[in-house]
Amino acid sequence: MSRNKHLSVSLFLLAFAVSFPERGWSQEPDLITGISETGATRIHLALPDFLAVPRGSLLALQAARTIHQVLRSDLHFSGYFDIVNPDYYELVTGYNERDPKFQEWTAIGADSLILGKTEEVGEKLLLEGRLYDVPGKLAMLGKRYRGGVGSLRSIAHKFADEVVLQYTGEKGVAATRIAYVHQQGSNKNIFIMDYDGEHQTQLTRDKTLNLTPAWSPDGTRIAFLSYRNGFPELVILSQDGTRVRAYPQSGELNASPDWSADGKHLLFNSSRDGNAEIYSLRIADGRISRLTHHPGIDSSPAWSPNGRQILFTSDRNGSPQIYIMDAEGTHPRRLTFQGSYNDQGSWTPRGDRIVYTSRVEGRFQIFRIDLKDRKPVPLTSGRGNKESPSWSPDGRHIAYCSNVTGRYEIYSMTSEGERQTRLTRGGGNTHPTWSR
Amino acid sequence: MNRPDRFTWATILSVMVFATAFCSRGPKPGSPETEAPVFDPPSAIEEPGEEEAGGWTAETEVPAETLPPPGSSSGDAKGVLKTIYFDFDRYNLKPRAIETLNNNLSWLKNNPDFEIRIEGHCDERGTDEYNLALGDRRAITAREFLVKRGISANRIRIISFGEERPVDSRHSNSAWSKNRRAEFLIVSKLSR
Repeated sequence: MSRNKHLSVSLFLLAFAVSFPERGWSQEPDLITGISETGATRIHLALPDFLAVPRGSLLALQAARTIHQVLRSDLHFSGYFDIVNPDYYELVTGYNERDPKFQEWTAIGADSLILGKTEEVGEKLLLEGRLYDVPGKLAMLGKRYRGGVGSLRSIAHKFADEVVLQYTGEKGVAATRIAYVHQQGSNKNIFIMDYDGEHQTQLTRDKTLNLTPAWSPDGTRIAFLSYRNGFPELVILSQDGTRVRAYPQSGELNASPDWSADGKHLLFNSSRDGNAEIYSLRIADGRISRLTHHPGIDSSPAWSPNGRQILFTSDRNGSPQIYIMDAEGTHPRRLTFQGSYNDQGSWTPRGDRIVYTSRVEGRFQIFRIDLKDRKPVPLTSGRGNKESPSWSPDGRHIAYCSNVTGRYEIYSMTSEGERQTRLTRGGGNTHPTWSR
Repeated sequence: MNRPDRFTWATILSVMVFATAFCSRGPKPGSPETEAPVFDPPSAIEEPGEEEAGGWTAETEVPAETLPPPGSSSGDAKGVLKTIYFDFDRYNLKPRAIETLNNNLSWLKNNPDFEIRIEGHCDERGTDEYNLALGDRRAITAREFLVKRGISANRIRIISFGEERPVDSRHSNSAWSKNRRAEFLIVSKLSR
């Protein structure tokens, strides 16, 4: 009885799928043209369970499950894919990498198919991942990875980024990281984690304050503000856990570093000349140039991706507002006019948009301005503060922190403010910065 | 449910219609459908590292805070210098603050052997970054007041804690007004 019912539903679905055999991008080799920034038109991806060999290998089976699950969430997160409902996969039978049965995947509505296999070889695991364009009946990508249990997540992230690259011409963000500040008692230290909140790792271990982390563009160094020596110093931490140097070695406030895209300069906020101004530091020789000259507060500098312009916050017209100036510090012009408190401007890696924090009815919310029309668009609303927005390297996601649960945690969302997802637990997590 | 209902019949019928339409088109000559997809396993094997944090190593622990906790002063003079308070997002001196600063000024004039540190603080309602600059500016404003009235700038160091060191960590107007402040700490006696 239930079998009959199941069969009729299956047949109905088959009929539905078959009636639109030319749907999708089979005539359109340039797939990216169909994908809007918001992901409104997504690729329908079939991602059946990975095969584990040899049969009976618990290690291979667990690896297959982990990689499959991480890959699935990475590809969903990317915004380019809709995963075809796994309930339909059993309608496709007898497929393998030599004969993927494209016709049958088409019938359940798949544009794209990933087949994977994990194999226990000695003490290691071997992963094979294959990506197929279903309507085009083409193999698009094949990758093999080897690693232990500890590298399964990063293998999945790497493969996910390759899949996104195939469809968009740009690598995905699954292998990126987020640096942030974590509070322990009255102390704050710098932590990093994978973009999905996994592998949270403490980098500094001071019983004092460490604030405002910033990644170097190659991801091998992090600049931040440290109080270790009794006054606020700008410090560069290298990957091996050593402090390369503290800049500058005198002066009062030295906060809010931001690394230029070429990795050669750091912008920072300092009161070394008696008032909070924006400075640029040439890392090679430590030469410091002052960029702003105003008796008001100038703070929170951020480079444009091409290094020609700088965002900063100033109260020169009575309240904190965001301004843009040329990289030499010339031609400051006001960007934000709505609201009485705007700060933490951050330039999208594509250069056409800016996100920032704006105070609305006593709470901070994240706003976005497109430089074309300069209209502020709210991305968040409602309870709690949302602060410290930071773009993902592909400009499609934003990390931020919020106390909407009563405690500060790190979140991510799309560039439209959708799919707000909490990445940390336990509270005291602020100031996320996405690696490039 | 032993006999198919009307819906099931309709479904089966529609499947037959569509299936017929589909089959009649048939595969085009030379279409890749008839071939196995050319897809030998890639030969190159990537081997990402096992390390969890992508190669990052934590710093070695620093045993103790080198910085005196806020509000601590050295010696007998503790508490003689009074804290001044500010309005939200402001760093101008209110009449009450000027009165306090004048008292602090007299003490500094009468005790020329002492160095002080001015700490600028903010309430939690601003952004972290801007508050660091604002706290700094509050300390600078207090220092400028004292220096203009004859205190040597060498005797005064400033430091901003932004919103990081509240005296009252509650989330209320009265807590916030206590936290928007500049504190004056006697840090050392000058050696002559």
